[in-house]
Parts: sequence; C-alpha cells; structure tokens
Amino acid sequence: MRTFLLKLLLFIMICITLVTGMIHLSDTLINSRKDRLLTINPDIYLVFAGNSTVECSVDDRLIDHSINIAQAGEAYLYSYAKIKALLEANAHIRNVFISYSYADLLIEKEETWLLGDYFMVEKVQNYNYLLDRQERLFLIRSNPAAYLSGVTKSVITSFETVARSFGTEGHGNSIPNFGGYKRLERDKLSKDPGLETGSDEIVQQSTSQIRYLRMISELCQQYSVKLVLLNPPKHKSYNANVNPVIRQLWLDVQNSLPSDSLLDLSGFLMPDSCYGDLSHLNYRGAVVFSRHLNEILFADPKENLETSIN
Amino acid sequence: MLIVFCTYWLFRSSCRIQNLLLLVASYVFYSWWDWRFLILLIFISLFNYLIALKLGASKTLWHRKVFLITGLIINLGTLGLLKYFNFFIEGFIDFVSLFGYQIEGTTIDIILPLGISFYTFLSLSYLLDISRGTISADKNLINVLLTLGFFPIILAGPIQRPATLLPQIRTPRVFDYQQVSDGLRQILWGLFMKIIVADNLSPFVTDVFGSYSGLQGSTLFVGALFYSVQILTDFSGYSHIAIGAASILGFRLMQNFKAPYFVRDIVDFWRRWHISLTTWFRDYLFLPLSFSISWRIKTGKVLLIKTELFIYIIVSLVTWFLTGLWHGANYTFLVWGLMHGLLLILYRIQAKPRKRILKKLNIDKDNIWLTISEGLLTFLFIVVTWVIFRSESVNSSIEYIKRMFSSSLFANPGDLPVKEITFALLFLIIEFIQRGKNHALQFDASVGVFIRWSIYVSLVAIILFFGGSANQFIYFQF
Repeated sequence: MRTFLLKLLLFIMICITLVTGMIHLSDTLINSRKDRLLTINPDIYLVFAGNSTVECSVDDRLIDHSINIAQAGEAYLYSYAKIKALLEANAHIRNVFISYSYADLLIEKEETWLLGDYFMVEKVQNYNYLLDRQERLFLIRSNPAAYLSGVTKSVITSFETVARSFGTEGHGNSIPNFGGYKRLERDKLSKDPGLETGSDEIVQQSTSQIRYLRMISELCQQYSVKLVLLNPPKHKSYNANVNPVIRQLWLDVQNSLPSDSLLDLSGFLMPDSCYGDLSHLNYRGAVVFSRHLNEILFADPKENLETSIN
Repeated sequence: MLIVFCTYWLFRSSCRIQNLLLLVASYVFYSWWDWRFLILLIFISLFNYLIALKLGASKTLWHRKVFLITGLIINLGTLGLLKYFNFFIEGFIDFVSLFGYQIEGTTIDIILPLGISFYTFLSLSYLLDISRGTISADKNLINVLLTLGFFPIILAGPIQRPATLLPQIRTPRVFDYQQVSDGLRQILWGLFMKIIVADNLSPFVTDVFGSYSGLQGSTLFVGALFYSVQILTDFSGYSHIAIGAASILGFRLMQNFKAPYFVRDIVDFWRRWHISLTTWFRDYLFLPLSFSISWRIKTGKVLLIKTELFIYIIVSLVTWFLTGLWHGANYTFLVWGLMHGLLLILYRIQAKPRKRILKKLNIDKDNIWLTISEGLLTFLFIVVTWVIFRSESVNSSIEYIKRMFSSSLFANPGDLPVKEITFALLFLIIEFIQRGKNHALQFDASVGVFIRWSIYVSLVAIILFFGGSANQFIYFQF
C-alpha cells in the first residue's frame, strides 16, 4: 500500500511538472509573438467586438476599414482583454463598437458566458495569454475546474497560433482565434421562443458584466478611442416583448456611460428571412445590415464618424 | 475518489466498515445528479431486499412463484412507468388513429432517473438467481443495498450479476498491488477513450446528424463512421473507468467490451459488445424462453420450418425487440434491435449452405480475404444500424441512409477534422494491437518501466491538452 501511494505520488508529481512546464512554455512563446499576432492592417480603424449578436450581423468585408472580433458567448471580461490587447498593439484604432443587447447585462449571461463550464473553457483556451492577473484570479475563484481545463487546453491552441504566425507577415485583416464574422445559415425564427427578455420574473443584473463594460469604456477613454454601444437588429416580436425592467436597466447603464454613444439599431426593419432567430441575423440579414451600417458610417466622407452615429 | 480510496483501505481490517463506506460513497455519487433519484433507488433496493428474503424463505413452489412475480412486477412496473409510459400511450393513440378513432391520453412529465435500466436489471438478476437457487438471499441489508447501488456500475453498468458481486462484498478485500495499479491503468485508458476520442468526435457527429439533409453522402458516411467510433469509445470508455474504479477497491467486474469492431460476423460482434447486457438477455430471457417453448412443441416442423430453427427465430425476435426497447422509448431503438435480431437469424440460416458452398469452391473458411470481406460487411451493417440508433426518428434515419448511399457517396466530403480522425485512428490501431487484453494498457513484462511510465504520462498530457468539451456519457440516458 505504501509503495503504491509513493509511486502514485511520484507519478502525479511528474505529470504536474510536465503540464506546468508546457503551460509556461506555451505562454512564454505566445507572449513573445504577441505584437506580431495582434498587429492589424493600419487601414483598419473600426473594431466590432462582443458576442454573437455582433458576430453574426457585422460582416467586416462589407464595412470599410473594419475588423470584427466578436465571438459567440463572449462576456465583457474577455472583450475587455481583447480590446485592451488590440489597442496596445494598434495605435491607429479610432472606434470600438461593442455589442450591447438587452440581455447582455443579466445574471443569466454571467452564469453561462462568464462562469459556466463550456464558455469558460473555450474562452480561457483562446484568450488566457491576454488575461491580467486580476481576471485570472477572478476566473479561478469562480470556477477553478473549468479555468484549469481551459488553461491546459490553451497550450495546444497557443502552440498552433505561434506556429501559424511564422507563416504570416503580420498586419493582417484578422487575428487567429479572435472570433470574427460568422455566417449564420439557420432560419429558426418560428422555433425561437425569445424568452430571455420576455420573462416577468425578477430581473437580476450581472455586476461582472456591468463592471467590465465600464472598464472597456475607461480603457477606450484612456486610449482616446470612441466607444459605441451597438444594439444590432432584433426581430420585431423580440423588441415588442422586451421586459420593461430589463429595458430600463439597459438604458440606465448606458446613461451612466455618458462619454460613449449608443447605436441602437434593434428596430432596423428587415424581412423574416433575414433572421436566424429572434435576436440574431442570418447571412442574408448580415449582408443587408452591414451595407446599411457602412452607409451610416461613411455617408459623408467629410463628416465626422461620431456625428454620423449620433 | 481519492478520499474514498484512502479511507477505504485504511479500514481494510473491517469488511463491514468498508461496505458501509462504499454504500455512503455510492449514494453520494448517485445523488450528485439529482437527490430525488436516490429515493427511488433506496426504495427499489429495500423492496428487493425484503422480497428476496421472502423468496429465499419460501417453502412451496407456489409461494416462490408469488414472491418472484411480485418482485418482477414491481421492478419492471417501475421501469415501465418511468421510462415507457408515455411511449406506449402515444403509440396506442397513434395505433387507434389508424382505424379512424381519435382518443386523448394522459402522459406524465417526469425526468428519467439515471441508470434505472441498469439497476432494474441488477435487481431482476438478484431475484431470479435466488429463485433458481444460484445464490441465497442475503440477510445483511448493507450488502444488498451495496450490490444494487455500487457506484462504479450504477449509472451505466457493466450489469454485474449479484451472483458474482455479492460474494465479493461479503468477503474481506485484500490490497493487491497488481490489481490496484491495473485498475488505475484501466481508468486512464477509459478516460482517454471518453475524453479524447468520444468527446472530440461528438461535435462533428452532432453537426452531421443535425443537418444531414443538406450534406453529401460521403460526409454522412464519415458522420456514421465517426458515430460508430464515438459510441464505442464513450460506452466502452465508461466501462473501463467503472471496472478500473472497482479494481482499485479490490473488486473484479466482468469485461464489457472486447474490441467489438474487429470481428468477422455479427455473432462475434455480440459476443464482444456490451457483454453484460447480451449475456443477461441470454441467461434470463433467450435460454429460458427457448427451453420453455421447446417443451411445448412436440412436432419436428412448424410452418414448414424445423422446430429448432422456428424456436430460434421466435425467441431471437422477442429478445432483440426487448434489447432494443431496453435502450429507450423510441422506435429507432426497436428497429435497431430487430435489425440485429434479423441478421443473427439470417446468419444462422446461411451457416450450413455457406459451409457447403465454400467446400465446393475449395475456399478455406479461414481464408484471409474471406475473413476481411466478411468483417467489412459486418462492420458496414453495424454502421448503418448505428445511424438508426442515433437518429431522432425512424423516418429521419431512412432519409439519412438513403442520402448516404446516394451518388454523392463518392463526392468530396469537404473539410474533415484532422485532429479527430488522428485520435480515432490512433485508438483503433491501439485497440487492434491490444485486442487480446482486457484493456489497451495491459503490457507484457518485457516492456520496461521507463516506456510504460512515458506512455502513462503522455496519455495524461494528451487528455489534459486535447480533451474535448465535456459531454455526458451516451449510455447514462438508458
């Protein structure tokens, strides 16, 4: 029994040493290539970030000078880390558009996108090297198993990213594992119950989501970058059923960020065929919306972008 | 697990304390999913404990029959009510509507308790074995509760017979270094199968089965192949973990899988796939039913078929219908079970003519090309039936199979997940090389410590670095 336990202990020690060493090595490698990985084309100065509502509605190929880095299920904590890294590496960025839909500030989103196993593993796997000590501590305290799982999985992701970076020149139009426009094929409008903002139950706000949204705002101010809160198009039946308490929370938080603009295009009317579900555009909707957005943003070349938005 | 393991072996001088500890651990483990499930498990276990005592103490055959039938009704009734009630009600409504009648039925809205099919079959084995005199009813309540709720096997088997588990529970376990370390190796291999192979294949399979109507036949074929590997690694992986976990506690459980895809025919497949279930049906349904019918039929032929074959056909169809039904309340499982039953019947019918033809053609029955072609045909059949098993309905499975075998079967399947294919192939190669062993990490003494440890450490690293998104085991739903 004693021999067995000693051997088991030795085995565990070897495994821990190996895994820790690999994590450290991958972290060091990816950080050494960080500048090359994160530097984007100097022509690009509009950044679209956030969750799936932006991921599926903004086709950055149809919007001049833009890059879409949004990803499904992305909590503001990760958007903060990504935007911060991008701003550090790209002084030419002028505007950041962050998804700001009604449900983004609810506790349900915090529980799934930020603290849930699936998304924590996925996000930490991709963005661990971008996270500050403060974020890492927050995540490890909230869900240690998922965080550690994400960290171990980040090893291979980091190695792959570093390996790919050697074949590229840098200054590209996309960043590896950073999200981006997703062509949504589905057409499930009739099946979508759209309950997330239609429930009459007690509304609980997410302190973490709100805190990190504020931090994104402060970060943009610090870099003299204009932050725009973007509410992409929603289906009319979705908008009609938004819980008034949630809508008020959404407005209150927006009003508490006076220096940032709100681009509320949730009421932008489109035929049903343009929706993947009640709150997401499919590829048809994305084309219409992206062209429209491009027109709004670049209606008059001489006009200031801020004026266009307002 | 580590806490249970250390505490358990700390009390190795007292079998009673060890059993009590295991029972508590089993119930904590089981109630982890939903504590309400535990109430049913305890109720069923207590009922079986009491009825088994009555059954064991019965002096007359009539009394024994009454207690046995009561036990079977309660166990199967609970399973039927919780698992099949809605299925049968809806089926009945559909059937009646065929004749133009519209009736309304009441369905129940209930979550199916985890592992109910497994512990019901354990309970049935216990009662049937006592009634046959194979084992005696155990008067120790803890022993019986532990037999029916032992945590490694409660959720997805192996369906370890009480006749072999109870004696191990009654006698003190001795710490055997070889057994315990082999158990850990088996757990490691099970984790590799589940986390690396099954969980990595899962997203692709889900995508293909979810949107099969818009995909090429070749992609659907790859999806079906992937699912075949996924279900094997998922279920067999769990069995390895369960057997390994029992091993490190000093128990020996039956092997549940023996490289089932490397077989020549369907009979061999069922000797190697989910062995604990197939042997259960063989011992408690197929053989007793065959004997029971053969006693009643005195003629040499029935409906122009030899009596022996007639009985085999009838009993096989009943057994495979119930095997399919055991898997779940869906027509897909019934069709899947019946297809396997029919192929087994066909296999039996063609055995003699085949022998004659081979002799005429002067082909040895162990000819390598013959073996390979038969093996591939059997595997193709298995893959097709897995499509039915995996589909949401029989209609969608027919659509899937039709599309799979359309002209687009030979089209370019598009981008395939390289990492997943690599892991699946790696698994199949290792499984083939080690097919004679209980699990792939059983090495010969000639393999040095350094190589063995390097393999173990590499496997741990692969599991941690490449593990797929955690998915529940497929067989938990059964």
